[in-house]
Amino acid sequence: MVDQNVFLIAYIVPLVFGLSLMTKMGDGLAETLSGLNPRASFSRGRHMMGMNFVALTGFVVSVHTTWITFKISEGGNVCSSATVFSCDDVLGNAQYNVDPIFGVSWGLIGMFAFGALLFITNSVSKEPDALWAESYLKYGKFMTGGGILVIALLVSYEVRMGKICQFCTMAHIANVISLFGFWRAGKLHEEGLWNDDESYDFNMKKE
Amino acid sequence: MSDYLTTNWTVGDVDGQWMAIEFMDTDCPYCVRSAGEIGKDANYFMKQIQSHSSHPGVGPWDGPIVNFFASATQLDIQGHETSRSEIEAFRDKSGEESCAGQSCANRDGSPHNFIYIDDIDQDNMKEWKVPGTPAYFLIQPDGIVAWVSTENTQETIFEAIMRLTPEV
Repeated sequence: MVDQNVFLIAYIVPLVFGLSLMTKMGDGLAETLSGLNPRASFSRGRHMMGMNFVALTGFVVSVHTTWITFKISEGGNVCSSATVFSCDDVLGNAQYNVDPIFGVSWGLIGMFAFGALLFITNSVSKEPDALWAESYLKYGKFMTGGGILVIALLVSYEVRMGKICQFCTMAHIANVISLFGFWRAGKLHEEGLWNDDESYDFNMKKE
Repeated sequence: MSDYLTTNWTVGDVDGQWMAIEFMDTDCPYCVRSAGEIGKDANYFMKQIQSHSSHPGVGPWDGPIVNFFASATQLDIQGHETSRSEIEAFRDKSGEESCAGQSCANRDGSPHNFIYIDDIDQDNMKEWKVPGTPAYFLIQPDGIVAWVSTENTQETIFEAIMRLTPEV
């Protein structure tokens, strides 16, 4: 069986990489990435590439947590009171593992949410100058902003249980980074910097 | 449980009775899900039924009797609070108690016909160094632990009994 920490690292790496592409740290990767995608030579392209990485990671983590939730129904693992980090105990706790209104598992909700975010980030990165792009980015900001409330609820559950699901935390971090990405993209629109102007790098302070 | 031990038992002796011990928590979803299968295993290896519905090809059990026990604990997890009446409800599939978010009466399988031990205070669990539930131990007639599920995660208790107990 693959060590859970290997999965964790596999999720942390693309999240950090995606975040770095959205910030000044990504500028150093422009030349390397432009070979893969010409748009990556521009800050806007790298920003959207980073958002795609983060949304995809959030989606994959959500699939993983959904799998853990359904694995419980196969009776394949253990409940443990000895460890704080235990997704089995968090996702297997019938009191908290579904949303309080419709009874849908949180992992499944995460899959739909990140699937929708992935649609937005991928669409906007393909056609960043489309008329709908700015609206889509706003929808993404509202979704991830709403996600913060859901995260607060889920963290309160974890506090009550005295347990932490590390994969759920990865999904929470992906949502927070996505919110940052959508917020920043919105700022660039407001400031008129949402373009592929080679003479201007929006990661640098405007002179 | 010491009544079941045969101190002069030797390997290959089919007369001695074995023991299978399940450490479980009535609010652990894995224990709830495995309750049906462990009930079938117990009935089969305690020779209360002739065939095992999950393993129809194996025929009547002709090996030594394996006595099943459940040590019911309460893990230190929010929502896992239990009581004797909840343990009885889990064992008998009866009552109004809730097990892992559902009625204990609706758990998988039939009522269990083996002994349940009250280990709500976790004494047994700590003594046996059980890291989580469900955990299974297979004990030879002479009291030696022959198999532990936590060290054999790819093998079920059914498979372990079939592999380790002597055939007639």
